[in-house]
This record gives sequence, C-alpha cells and structure tokens, in this order.
Amino acid sequence: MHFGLTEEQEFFRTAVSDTVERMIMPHVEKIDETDEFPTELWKEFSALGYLGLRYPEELGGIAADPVTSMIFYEELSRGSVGFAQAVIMNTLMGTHFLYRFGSPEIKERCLVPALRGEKITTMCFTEDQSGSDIANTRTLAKKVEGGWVLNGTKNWITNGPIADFATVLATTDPALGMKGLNFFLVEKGTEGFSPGQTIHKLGARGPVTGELVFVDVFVPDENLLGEEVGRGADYLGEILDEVRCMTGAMALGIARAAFNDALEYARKREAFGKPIGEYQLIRAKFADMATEMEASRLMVYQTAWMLGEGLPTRKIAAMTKMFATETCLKVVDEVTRIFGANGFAQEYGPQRYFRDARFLLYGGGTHEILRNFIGREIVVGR
Amino acid sequence: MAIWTVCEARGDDFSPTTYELLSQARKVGAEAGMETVAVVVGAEAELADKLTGQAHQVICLKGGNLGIFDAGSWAEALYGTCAEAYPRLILFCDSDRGRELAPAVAANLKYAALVNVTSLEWEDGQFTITRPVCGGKAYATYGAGERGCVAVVRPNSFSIEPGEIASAQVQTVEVDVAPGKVSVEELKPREGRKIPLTEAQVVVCGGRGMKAEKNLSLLEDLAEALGGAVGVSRAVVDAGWADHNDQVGKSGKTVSPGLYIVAGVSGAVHHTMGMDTSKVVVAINTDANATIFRFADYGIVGDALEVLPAITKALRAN
Amino acid sequence: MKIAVLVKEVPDLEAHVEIAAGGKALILEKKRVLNYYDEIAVEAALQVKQSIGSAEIYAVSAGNGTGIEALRRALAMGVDRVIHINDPALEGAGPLVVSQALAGLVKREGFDVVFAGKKSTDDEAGMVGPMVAALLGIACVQGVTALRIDGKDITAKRETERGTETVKASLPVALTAEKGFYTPRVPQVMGIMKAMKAEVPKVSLAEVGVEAVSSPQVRGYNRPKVRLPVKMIEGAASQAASELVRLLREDVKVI
Repeated sequence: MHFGLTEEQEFFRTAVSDTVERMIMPHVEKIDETDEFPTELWKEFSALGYLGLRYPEELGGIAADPVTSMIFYEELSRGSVGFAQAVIMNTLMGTHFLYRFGSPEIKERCLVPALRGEKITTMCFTEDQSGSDIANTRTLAKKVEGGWVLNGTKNWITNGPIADFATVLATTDPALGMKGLNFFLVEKGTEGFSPGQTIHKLGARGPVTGELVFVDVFVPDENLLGEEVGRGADYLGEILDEVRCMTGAMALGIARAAFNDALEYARKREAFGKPIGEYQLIRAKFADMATEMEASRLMVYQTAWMLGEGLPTRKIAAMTKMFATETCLKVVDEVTRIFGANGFAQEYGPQRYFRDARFLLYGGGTHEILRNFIGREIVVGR
Repeated sequence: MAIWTVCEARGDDFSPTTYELLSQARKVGAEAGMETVAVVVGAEAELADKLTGQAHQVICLKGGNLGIFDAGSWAEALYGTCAEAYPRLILFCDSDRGRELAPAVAANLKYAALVNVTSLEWEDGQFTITRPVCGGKAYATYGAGERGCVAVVRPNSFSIEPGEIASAQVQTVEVDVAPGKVSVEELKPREGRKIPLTEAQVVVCGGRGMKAEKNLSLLEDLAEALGGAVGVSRAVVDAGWADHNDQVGKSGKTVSPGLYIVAGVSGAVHHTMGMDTSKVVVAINTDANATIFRFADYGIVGDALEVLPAITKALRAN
Repeated sequence: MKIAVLVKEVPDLEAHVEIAAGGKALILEKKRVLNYYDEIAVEAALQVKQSIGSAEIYAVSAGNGTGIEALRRALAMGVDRVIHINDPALEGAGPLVVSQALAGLVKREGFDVVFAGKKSTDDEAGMVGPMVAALLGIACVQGVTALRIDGKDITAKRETERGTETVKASLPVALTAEKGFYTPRVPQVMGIMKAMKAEVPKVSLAEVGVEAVSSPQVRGYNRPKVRLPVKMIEGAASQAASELVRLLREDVKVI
C-alpha cells in the first residue's frame, strides 16, 4: 500500500500553494470584509488555466485526476473559502452537465468560456422547501413545442446574481419525486430569468449568493442537459461523490490554515514567562487536531484515489465529507481558544476560519442527512 | 603569508569598516604570525597616509585606467597583484563595492569566498570565519584550511583599535590594466542620507505605524540628532512612502548598528532578520504584545508619532 | 540569442531550522523553493525573449540532489529547457566550486546573456553570478533594475550606494537581477503540468570540466545570540523618552 502523493503531485501542491499565497492571500481579508465578488482577482487567477482542471485538453483543460483536483481544492481553501467557492462553480458543479450533455454549440458558447473564466457560472439546487431533500424540488419544467418552460424560485445560489449561465434542477412533475428531476441550461438575458434577494452570509464571503427567479422562462430542447427525461437524479449521482470529497478537501484546507496560524501563535505568544506552546494543555490541543486532520487527509485522498479508479464511493464519500468537515469545525474552535481573546478579534484569522468552516456543513448534504444515509447503507446494505 | 585588506575610501578618509578590518587583521595576524597588508587602489592612494600604524605594509596600486572606482579594472589590478603574493586571506568591506570586487578577485585566484562575515579568528592553526546561514536563523563557522580565502565582512563586526605598527612600508605598484568592460554612462547621486544604512552606527527605522509619508520626517529628525541613518520596513516601501534602498529586512538591507530604534513595526520575521544582530535595540509600538519587543532591549508602548519627537526633544535638551 | 539563467534552490523563508549533533549539523525543514531573485532573473530572460522575438532560454542549477525543484519552477515559468549539474562533490560546496561548475556548463551550451539573481535568500552572498562572469571573462552588471538590448549593446540601470547608475556594455554579458526589475510571473497550470512531467537532464562535475576542489568546511553551527528579556519603559511619552535617553547614555553607553 502506498499512501503518499507522487513527486509530481507534490510539485503540483507546492505550485498551487505558492500561487494561492502570492495571488489570493493578499486579498483574503478584503474579500471577507466587503463580501463582493473579486472581479480583478478572478481575471488574474482564471488566466492561469486552473478552471479547466478536470476537463479534457481539447476544451482547454488539463484532464487532472481526482487526487490532483483535491490538492487544488485543499490549497485553494487554505487561502480563501469564499473565492474557492466561486472557482468550484466553474471547475465542477456549474460546468459538469454542459460537458456531459451539452451540444457542440453549448460547449462553444458556455463551457469553453467558463473554463477560461470569461463566463461565470452556477448550479441551482436549493429552494425554500428543499435542499438536501432534492426529491422535493418544486421548480417546474413544462414541455412545450420546441422546448421547456420553467417556473419557480431557487435560493442559496452561489454567484447567482452575477452568473452568465446556470444549470438548473427542475421537476417535470413533483409527484414523480426523484424520477421527475432534470437539469436545464438557462443563460443570462433569457426572458423571465432574474436575480432575487441577496443573502448576507456568516462566512465564505465574496461570491454573491442569493435567489434566482424563473417566471415562464422558455429554453429550447437542447438546453435539457441529459439523454433522457427524468434521469436528472442519476446524472447528479455522477458528481455527487466528487462534490462530497471536494468538500472534505476544502475542510482540510481551512483546518490547515487555522492550525498553522495557531502553531505560529503558540510558539510566539507568551504567558507566565514562556510561550504558550510549552504548556501541556496547549500541546494536547495540537496533538488532537493533528491526529484528526491526518485522518481527514487519509479519507479525502483515499476517496479521491477510489474516484480515479472508478470504484464505488457513495458511502466513503459521504463519510469523508462529514468527517473532514466535523474535524475542521473542531479545529477552528480549538484554534480560537488557543488565540485567547485574540481569537475573538477581527484583526486575527481565527474568527474568519470559524465562520468559514460552517459553510461546509450544508453543501453535499447536511450531516443529519448523511448520517441517515451512511447508517442505512451499513444496516440495510444494498 | 599575509592578510590583505582592500581599503575603501569614504570622503577624505577610509570607511570605518576599513579600520575595523585592519584592526582585526592585526589581531589575528599576530596570533597566526602573519603580516597585515593594506591595499589601496587608484585615486584613493592619496589617502595612504591615513593608514600609518594600521598595517605592516601599504600597497598602492596605480595605473592609467585606475582612477575613481571601476569594478572591472580595479578587480584586474587586485587579482593581478594578489597572484604574485598569494595572501592567505583577502578581506573586503561588505559594501556594494566589496561585493563587486570580491567575486572577481576570488574567481580569478580560485580562492574560496565567504560573504556576510561577522567574525574572523585564528583557532587550531587555521582561520575560522563565521557568517549567518539560512537567512540568519543560524550561524556557521568555517575553517578556512590551508587554502586562500576571500572574506567580505559586515560593517560593525569588529571594534576599531589604534594602529601601533611602527614602521609601515609604503609601496607603490604601477599596474597596466585594461578599462573595465562595463562603462558608467550616468550616475545620479542619492539624495539625502550621507551615511550608508549598513554602515551607520545608529539606525532609526519606521514601519506602518508611521501612518503617513509626511510623518517619516520624525525618523529623519531623530536620526539627525543621533548622527544616524533612517531605515523603513517593507510596509512603508509597499505603500510607496520610501525607496526600496532604505528598506531594512529580508528583502532589503541587513543592518547591525550599535543602536537600532524601531517604531511602528510589528516585528514580522522578514523585518527582524534584517536587524537582529544590532547591539542595542529600542522598540516603540502601540501594541504591548507586538513581536518586535522580543527583539528589543528597551521597549516603549506608545504611538510612534508621539514617542519619536519626545526622544528627539530629550536628546536635544541636554 | 541564447540566454542562460543560473538558478539556486533555497529553503523556504519560513522553513524551520534546527541545530543538531551538538552544533555539528543543521537540520532544515524540507520546504525548498526557487530563490526569489532567481525568479526575477527567469522573468527577465522571458521578457528579453518576448521583446526581441526569438531566443533560447535554458536554466541551470548545481547541487548534490538539490536544484531540481528550482529548475522545474523555471520550466513552469516558461524557460525552454533545463540542465542539472548533480554531483556528490557539490555537497556543502562554496561559491567557487558552484561557479566553476556553472561556468563550465554555460560555456559548453553557449550563451549571449547570462542572468542570475542578485543574491540568494539563504546565504545572501551574491557571489555566484559575478564569479561565473569572471570565470567566463565577460562583463557583469550586478543588481540590474532595468535593461535595454540593442543588437550587441546593452544599457542597464542599477541602484548602488553611490546612486542610480546607467551603465553600458556589450554582449556577451552577465546580469544579476535586483528586486524591482520585474515581478516574476505566477506559472500557468499548463506550465506546471509540463514541468511536473519533464525529465531533468543531469550532468556530473567531470562532464563540465571541473575537478572538485575542497570548500571551507563547517566546524559548527550556532544559534543567533539571545537577547535578554526586553525592559519596558513606562510612563507618558516625554517621561519614557527622557528615561530612554538616560539609559542609552548611562547604562549601555551607545550614545
């Protein structure tokens, strides 16, 4: 068994880490403070070509394997979770279904520019009454001649108000539950498609998050992203594990950022005449944090490796997302304690990690839902 | 066998570093049984009288192409002369000039070269030379062995001792060297500071806590009262308030003055690496927990804009 | 035009350093990067290539096992090829040996311009660039902040203690890059992937015509001197200032 990264993957990590430190970290505080989409940084960063990471070279990508992708997400989140969140829409969630099912024209018009960062994209799942419970989706797609008409309201849409196009989950009939779901491409400027309210978030600030409203939005047939009507839930299954693994990688990234800050602080900050890192109770915190982070790391990269090998990952990916996120929440909590009152101050990083980490609780399934799922897998099996 | 020191003029005398090097050369030379030789080049030979008592021998290199400093021709004159005598050690001042001459001399003589040197001793039958490594996180002491070695020594590394060598032999050597391959078309002298930052005995340094460009004059005032030079942190350079040449720290100058007064600098490792060999450090910061106090001998918690003028006033009062 | 860039791999500035074996050994955290000044040199080479239309840029580094990361970084930034001088005799080698090795290789490969960083961020010696120039017998401008190449003539600007100098020289020339010359580019992911997969050709000291000579040996390592705990001076600004001046005059006698 071999649990390490290859030399090449290590080189990739160093390069991404360096890019994040030079290009993103100087803007982290401002992104968090203003909660505005960092347009200049977006342009500069997307010019480096990372957005096409997982896609084939003919689309401008580099066909990276899942392990390499996870390294990217981990390092990116070590810098800025808000920025990472915007990036991930373009690298994965907002582009995957166009890549799989889009016509050559759609790929040319939307996908390729999105992988270059020239178009901003998003993915619309959540509604007021449905989130992890996607079978309860109420946004309705009605078949008409030559296309579909969408009606409904989506919420919690990352990049929503500024997206150039969106992949929208809608049902052809709410009574069909999971069997009624489909993905549709809706482009900015389509009649009846408009942004609604913006959400002021606790953390992961930067990308604008809010509502998208669909009132009699007509899209042509080719905008149905799928080979057959009613298979949306299956298609979602294609990236669900990757999304969950990625969320785990992001959790690991935030935890590392917080841990490293705390380590530096504990070596320097003195109390009662010696650095606080010399006290056993502080050392115990580091021991526990490091141990659990190591376990997170192993889970994230094991899952990534399994994804690359095409092995079944539904259960392990759910476990990874949940464990890595819970670990991250513990770590950011301990880190604010190590910082003492400074952990409560806006001038220091811990309060931001503390807020940002909570963002990971929801995407890819709440932990209540995931526990249910993992438990059922174990007890009932398949 | 001898220890050569390449002298560097500063105005109408030699630089303090030159005297520091000659002092240490005499000390270790006595222990090693080697003579001290001072070398002056070009127009600076006119100052050779100043070296009375400083060395056993003073060598003045003169020639048609050796007027004011020119790295190419001066280096050729130096290594040509050294190649006849093969001194055991050749000492240079750690200045821009020293750093241009030393590599050319060392490469041509196939001598080892050590730069940033902070200590030179004679121990166990060889010269031992110390310099910081890994950006100052550790100091390495090298044994120079039997071979020739060039050492570029930091200012303020040794104390200046009175020169008591009775009869110095002054020798003028005519050397015929080609002009250097690089010609200086234009030189815009630096305005303001007269003492190079790295050689100043007192450095007053300000950081982000100076709040605005206009407040840098408070640093100038205090530096003037102490006869020192002004430095700034990277934050000040990044803000565009000062020139990169005045920056103290990892990506700027490394200073080692007798007194370093630092105001409004938090004490990030980038900064402290450039100043932590200073003898006495005074830190002024509004944050009592600022890291800079860990690198200081004296600390004042307060606003740089109030404390700096108060010190200037206190100095001028008596 | 052929451009050689001399690069060095250095420990990351933040890397943890430990003195071990009773002061006989230095243990460095394994976090190694391309020296920042060399990054500027690589960027300068890429800019020259862009401005004159065509040039071949190769980067070289010398070390016992170290240097490959630095060369990969140079590849990721966009140099055309790299060569690594890898030899056990380079372990702990001083600037003379390293310069002889680099000069030997550059001579073999050919060059019109040799770029190097002004200094490294670990040793801060700045010897190798000018020593290579001396060994090659070519002109050297240290600490370049601006450059123009017109055919065989170059004009460069540099900042020294004397002031801002504008200097002229003719090719072939060695130039060492100072901060402010260029901001090194952040490599594109395509460049990184290419660099990751690239084979780095290796040559030995003998192959570049260098007989290993001994460098000064390290006798021991020490920590920087430890300062006594800071003495805080209390009171209002004027009181504290007067007390400070008294202490500096009477206690430590530095003024």
